[in-house]
Amino acid sequence: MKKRRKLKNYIQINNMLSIAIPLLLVALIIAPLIFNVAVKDIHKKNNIIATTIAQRMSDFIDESFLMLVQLSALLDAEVLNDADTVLYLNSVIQSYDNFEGFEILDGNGIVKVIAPENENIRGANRSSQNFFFETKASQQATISQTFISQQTGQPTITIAIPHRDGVLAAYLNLKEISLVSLNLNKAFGDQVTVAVTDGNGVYISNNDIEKVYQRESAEKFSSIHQEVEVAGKITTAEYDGKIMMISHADVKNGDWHVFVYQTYDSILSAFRPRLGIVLLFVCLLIIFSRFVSRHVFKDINQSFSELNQQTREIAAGDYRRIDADNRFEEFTTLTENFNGMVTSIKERDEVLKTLAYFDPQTGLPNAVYLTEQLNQLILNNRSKIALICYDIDNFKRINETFGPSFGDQVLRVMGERILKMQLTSGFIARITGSNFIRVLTEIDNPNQVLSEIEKLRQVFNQGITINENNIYVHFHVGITLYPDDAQTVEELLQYAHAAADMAKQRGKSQYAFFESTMKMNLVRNMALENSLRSAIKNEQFYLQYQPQIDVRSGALRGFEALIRWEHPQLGKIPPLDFIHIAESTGLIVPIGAWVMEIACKKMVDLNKATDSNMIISVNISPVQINNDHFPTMVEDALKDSGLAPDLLELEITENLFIHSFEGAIKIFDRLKAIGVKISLDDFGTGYSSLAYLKKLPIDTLKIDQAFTRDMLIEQSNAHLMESIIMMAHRLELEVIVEGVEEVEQYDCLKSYRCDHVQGYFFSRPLDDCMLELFLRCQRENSSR
Amino acid sequence: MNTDRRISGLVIFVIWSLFMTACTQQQPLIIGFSAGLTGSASEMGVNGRNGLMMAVEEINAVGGVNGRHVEVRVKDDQNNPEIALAMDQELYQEGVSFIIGHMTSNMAKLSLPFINDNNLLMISPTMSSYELVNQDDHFISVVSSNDVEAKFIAANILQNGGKQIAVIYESQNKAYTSTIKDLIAADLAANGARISYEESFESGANPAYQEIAKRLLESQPDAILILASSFDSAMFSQQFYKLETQLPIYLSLWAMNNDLILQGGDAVEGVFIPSLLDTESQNPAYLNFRAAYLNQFNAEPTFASIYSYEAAMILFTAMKTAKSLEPETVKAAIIEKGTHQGLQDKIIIDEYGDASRTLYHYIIQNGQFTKVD
Repeated sequence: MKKRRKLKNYIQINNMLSIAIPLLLVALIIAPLIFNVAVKDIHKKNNIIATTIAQRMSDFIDESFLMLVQLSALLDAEVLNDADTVLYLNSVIQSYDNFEGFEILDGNGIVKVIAPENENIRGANRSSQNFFFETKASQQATISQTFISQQTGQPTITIAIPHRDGVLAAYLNLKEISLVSLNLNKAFGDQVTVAVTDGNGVYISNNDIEKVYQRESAEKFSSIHQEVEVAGKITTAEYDGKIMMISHADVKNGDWHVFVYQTYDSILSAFRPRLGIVLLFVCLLIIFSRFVSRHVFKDINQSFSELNQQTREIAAGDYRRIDADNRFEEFTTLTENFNGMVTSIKERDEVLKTLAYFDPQTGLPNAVYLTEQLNQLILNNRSKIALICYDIDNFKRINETFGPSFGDQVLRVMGERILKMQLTSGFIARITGSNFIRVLTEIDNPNQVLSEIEKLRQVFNQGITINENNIYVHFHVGITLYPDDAQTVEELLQYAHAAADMAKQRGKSQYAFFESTMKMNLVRNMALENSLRSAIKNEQFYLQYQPQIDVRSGALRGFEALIRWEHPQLGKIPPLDFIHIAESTGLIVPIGAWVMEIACKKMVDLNKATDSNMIISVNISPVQINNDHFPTMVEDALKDSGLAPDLLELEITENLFIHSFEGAIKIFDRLKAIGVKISLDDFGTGYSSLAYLKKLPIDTLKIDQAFTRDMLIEQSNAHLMESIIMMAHRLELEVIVEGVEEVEQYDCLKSYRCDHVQGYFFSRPLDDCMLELFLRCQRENSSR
Repeated sequence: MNTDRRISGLVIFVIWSLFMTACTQQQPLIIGFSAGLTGSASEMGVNGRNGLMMAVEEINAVGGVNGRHVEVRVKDDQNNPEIALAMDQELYQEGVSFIIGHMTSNMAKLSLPFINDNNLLMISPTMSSYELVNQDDHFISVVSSNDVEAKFIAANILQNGGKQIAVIYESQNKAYTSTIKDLIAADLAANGARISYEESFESGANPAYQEIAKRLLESQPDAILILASSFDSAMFSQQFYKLETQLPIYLSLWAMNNDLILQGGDAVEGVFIPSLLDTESQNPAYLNFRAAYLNQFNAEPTFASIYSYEAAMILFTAMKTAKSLEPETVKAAIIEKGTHQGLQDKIIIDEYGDASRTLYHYIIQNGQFTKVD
């Protein structure tokens, strides 16, 4: 993830860096060059200092020698006797600080005259002194090495010139010589150290006079001296523990050398004030750049703030176009692009809203819209609201008859008509399938609801013609009121549907207001649904078996397995009460499998016990068929129990084929292939399309007990029964008639050549104990 | 925040690294040198410093002592005991534990107690007072003590038939001159000779050389003994020269340097002088040193410069051997080694840190020191 930083800081830092870095780079390149130039410059200046001091030293020696020459001339002129000579020399010593003393030596080196007077020295032998024998031998002026004067205790040198066969010598005080160079040195500033050495490198003069007094030698004198002379370039050497740049000049008339030392630090220190100015300048530039960048960022920030503000408004749902007038071209372009994006979002938002809130088939608001609006109404509206739940009575049948696309067109037409309606308040939404909800607000009395229902009825009483098919739709209507019945959207919808279900039960085009009893039913159903989930595990289900009798022989054909639920609190729950819950929750699949398993096992046991081949009929729900594992489940039950497949009869109803005819046929063909029998249950109650009957893979037709019940009441019903039986036989189907409760019914059916019968006349559904008893009685009867 | 932490970490690391580098860098080893470098008797001190500097240059050229560069703090004691003590104190305060010096025995009186009290180690090239011998202290001398020299001079006098000896001795360096005078007197007395006249003088105070010389001659001695520096010895010799006396003159080791001949000229011709140096030595170490010294100072090395060089070398070798810079340990290493190689001969240092050196007879002939076999 990229590191995030503030644009303001980024701009300011980069601005400052863009000034500081180039300046530093330039400084890094230029500084050494400037330094080198400065070093050369200073070295040149120091050379001048050295040469100047060397010249002054030379002059000093010349002046000193001149004094000896003058003395020599005076002596030669023989104008002075010894005493006068001493007086003269003493006056010279007093006049000139640099002269410490004079000696006049004869040819043997004997001190003949000495000034100031010293009887210890006068007459002494100086023949071993270098100045004596060198001057005498060379007949040239000489300068001695430094030594400590025993008179003054100070460093001293001797200068000497030949005189007659002897020598004239003068003692020069090095302190005075030092002062000459130090005074010059001061004139050149205190950045340099000036030293004068004799030919052996011993200091004659030095800023540090102690070095002169202690006759220190210049460190590495000879090598420095030679290097200076040979290379003529900048020489460096250590002096007092520091690396120094050295300039050098020789004193012409004596073997003396002038050295000017300067540390590199002092050169740097000369730069320091300028460096400070440069640094100050850089700092000022950086500060200036900061101000500039701040000013620049202020404008940019303003543009950003405007854009930010506008984008926040857009995020809050205000899709206004942003003002694109900005002083920066980039921002203007950005804003224009943004406006383009806003337009696209707005359009897409509308589309999404339509998709989210409106039903594409009818163009009416959908369930989501209904929920949100209703919530809003409940929040804002304190007056009564009515929820009128409409459901087309026979929409399923329309779909079955004319096909699903026909049903869709019916819904579209309905949508168009509703949209054309002038609604006084509220709205109509399509929830699912043929289910609509009219939300009616500001209800003063229930009559308003009834008049609204009437309005709707008038709209739909007109027939709908699609592809030359004219149909009429009928509604059952459930009404619930806010806040009388419920306070939440969920409850209102639930109760409206419950009321609609109630209306449907009452008959076609009925309406019903929600009543508290409906609420109780809803609660009971919810309790059943919750209990149903654990009923198998808790072994609350059990099976009852109703015998089926072969009419011709009067023998037992087999049994129909019927599920029963013994609820621990609610007692015996009729199948009609829970089967539809099991179907709607999908629990019918495990329940159906359990029934299959138990029934098959039971039948195997019974057949073994009675040594017969009785058939077991098991009811199958359409939901079970839709489960992919259904055929496998049946096969596994047969396999596990060991029941012969031809002793299993699956009872199905016609509506099983409504959803997927082909699919169901495939499944039954598979099961029939292994010998399983299929029976069509409740024949005559439903759609009972005779066209389908021929195509269905059934072995047995099971005629609903309603026919049996009415058979003895009206002759026509008896004829219908006979005809159905005859038709079934023609179609090579066996017939079982349910609901045989009286002997007349049985006799009648016998005469119609009915194959099998089932009903209370023979036996009620039997539990395990009763079944054993029944079979025992059956065996006893047959044995008689 | 993270960036700040990283930058702070980096800065701390860099500072720490620099600190560690600075800490691990070897500090120089500083030794002290204290001698009279100014004034009329500074010749020995200056020569001693020159010799020491050669030793330091030599040791630094081979990497210093135990990896540490050697530096010298030079102090001028002006041949004054009070100043000598003050200089020792200065060196001590500057963190110096080893001092080469002083050059004259008179300095010992005030200096040595301070050295001992503060556990410093002083190695003197030339302090030879008999009073310093046989003491377990923080002092090591690389020169023989006065008694050896006294015996040597006395023997020479006796050998030349001296019976009545007149002595002139310097009073500032009494620790040396007076001691040696007494030792010589004892030796002479033991052999039937005696000191018939003695007079002291103070060097540097423009002594009345001529007057003293005259008084001495008035005592009619058959030999003259001068216990003084080279200059003073030369000056007295000049007076005897002027007074045209033919008496043999005996000088002490103290006067044994070039200045004697320079200042003495013909006046010192024929004087007897003991020497700690064999000027004819062919020892390569000596020859190399002499050549280097001549090159650097354009002068012959004196015994003061050679002994200072040797004192420094003994110190550096002991530091290396002991791998220590503790004065006590270094002193123990010097004593334990016992025999040290000098430039010309072996230096034997006993348990008290006192040395035994060979002495040579010299006479000045034709303006040169000439060894007498």
